[in-house]
Amino acid sequence: MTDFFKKSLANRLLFSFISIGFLPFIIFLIYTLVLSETKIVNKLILDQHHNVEVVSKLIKTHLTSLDKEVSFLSRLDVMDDILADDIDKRISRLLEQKKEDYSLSLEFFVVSNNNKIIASSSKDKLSNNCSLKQKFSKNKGIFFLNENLYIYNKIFASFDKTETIGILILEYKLDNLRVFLDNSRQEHAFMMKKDKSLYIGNRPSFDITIKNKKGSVSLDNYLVVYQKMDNILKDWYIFYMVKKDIALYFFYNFIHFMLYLSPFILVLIIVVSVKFSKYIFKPIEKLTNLTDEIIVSKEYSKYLDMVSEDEIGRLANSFNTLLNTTDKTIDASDAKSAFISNMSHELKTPLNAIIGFSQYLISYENLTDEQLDIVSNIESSSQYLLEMIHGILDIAKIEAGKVDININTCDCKSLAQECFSMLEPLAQDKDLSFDFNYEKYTLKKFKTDEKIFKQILLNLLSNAIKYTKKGSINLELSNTTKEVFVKIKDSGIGIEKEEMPKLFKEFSRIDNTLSSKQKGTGLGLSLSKKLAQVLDADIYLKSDGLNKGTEAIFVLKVRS
Amino acid sequence: MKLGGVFFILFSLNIFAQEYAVVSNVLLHDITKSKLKAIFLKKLTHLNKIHLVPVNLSSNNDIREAFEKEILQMSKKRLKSYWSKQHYMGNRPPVTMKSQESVLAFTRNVLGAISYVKIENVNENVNILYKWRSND
Repeated sequence: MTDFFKKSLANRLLFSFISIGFLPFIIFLIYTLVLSETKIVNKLILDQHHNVEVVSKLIKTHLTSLDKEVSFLSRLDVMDDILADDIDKRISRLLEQKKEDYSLSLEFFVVSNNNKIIASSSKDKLSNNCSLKQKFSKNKGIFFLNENLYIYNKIFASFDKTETIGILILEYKLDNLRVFLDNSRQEHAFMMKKDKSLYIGNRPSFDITIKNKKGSVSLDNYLVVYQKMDNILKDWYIFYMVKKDIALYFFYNFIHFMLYLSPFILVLIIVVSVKFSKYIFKPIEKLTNLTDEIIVSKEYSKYLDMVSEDEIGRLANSFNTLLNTTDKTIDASDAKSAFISNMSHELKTPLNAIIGFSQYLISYENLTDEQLDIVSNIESSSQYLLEMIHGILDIAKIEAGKVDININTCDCKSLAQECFSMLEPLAQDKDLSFDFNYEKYTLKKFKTDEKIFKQILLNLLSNAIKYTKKGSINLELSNTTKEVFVKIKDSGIGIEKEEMPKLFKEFSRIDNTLSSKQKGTGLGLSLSKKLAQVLDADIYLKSDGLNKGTEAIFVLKVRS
Repeated sequence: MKLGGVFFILFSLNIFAQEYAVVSNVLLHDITKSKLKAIFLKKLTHLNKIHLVPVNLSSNNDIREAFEKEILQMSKKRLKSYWSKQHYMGNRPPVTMKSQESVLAFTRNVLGAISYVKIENVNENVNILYKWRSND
């Protein structure tokens, strides 16, 4: 997983885009699913409490106005007609009129002192005895009986305020209060007496336990809000029930909508992220592909076609400039190699003729000593020149990448032995002790190019012999599991530290007294190093200083 | 012929004149026109320690008009202004009943009630305190 991000900027970018898209959406979704329902329900409860409050107030106002009406009616002069048994029906007509005005289920009665109903809003109760006598203990009052509310007020004679002449009673059916209780599809309101003996409005099918003066209960289908009423209806509770599925219909709908929509939104976020990150990475991919292509084909004349002014556009521009420069440099280098190669070939032909003829002169003509000297000089100089041309050709070949490599399994030890045997006579000529040590070499099989290996080894050994006047030369072969070491240690002239960097440059020879006496093209070490690089190997030189000897180390990797 | 003429006059008086009676549920003696006026203007409220309750008929009733003309001897306008002034002093005009029956019922039921009706409507439950005749 970490690789997935570590190795691809595109993946990281894609991940960032997706998280940026997802996070707000998921937070929104969680908020909607978890938090908002509680908030909406709380809001609903608050609204219902408000409703209850309003309805409670309305009912209170209504009952108060009824109470006032009764007081008002009882104080009218016309009530004196009680004393004439309302023969003129003035009171009855007034009460009938009042009843009609209210258009509610209610009745007004006037009861005389001898407990007879002498005036009423409905004719059929007239002259009956009133059964409520004992309830009218005060001058005015309110009481409940059965499903009715009674409001009464004693009537005094207009000419003598101390004399009670009767009682005005309002019989009010509690069911009238139903008009104040909303009963819509969503809401259902009812009133209940504390002892649950009486209900106004539709009684619910379930039982509700009341705990406080005011509260709310959340049931499966309903949200119930209740409140205790005051004043006249102090024994009553008013309830508002809200059907959850209807009240929260919009909310549930919205949640469903969100849930159905979320897969599409998620897919959309992913698609947009992928598209966008691809769009951003397209030029980078193009650049990478072109680079890979150039590495394989080595054609530097290519051009990255990109039109944009952003950072990547600038990178592409720089890349194109780089390609252009490289192309030119490589062209120049190729031209140089071709020139050297051609020149060398052209030089070799006449040089071979010179060498051939001078050798012929040395062996077949009777030359004087002086002549022989001159001709020998011509021959050796030509040989030197030829050797140099070969060296140049080899370097040009390596640089042009035209060296043929044949990697085969070979025996390193016998190859080194061959080189050792070849150069042993040269060492003997100079009275140098020359040893070959291969005790630390354990590999039986080793893969390399025999020809190049031998060439490098011969080069290094002949250099060692060339630059050693007296003393010893030691060739040592050793290995580890990964590398093979060929060390050539001599007791020769050594190298100054400052001169070290020059060693592997073409045509450079260290300018000291001893070397100036030696013949050499100055190509040997440079050629060896380049050949070693062809084999994926390397050559190092170590020296403690002038006249302290040199150690050349040739390191080859073990190929599997 | 002469006698016939007198009879004719008497007869005709009998036909066109209407007799009224002031009634109460208590028997009060020496009720004069001026006493009645004082009672109905609520200047006199108690008699023989009885609280008097005068009862009027409704305002456009013929009997009331006859009563006001004969006993109170005040025009409607004057009466109106009188009761307006009394109203500010906290006095109210007498109780008003619509019909003679209710007047009689009220008078029978209320102690000290005093009212007026046509003489032919007087029943045994009330006492006649005063009578007058009108020729209208």
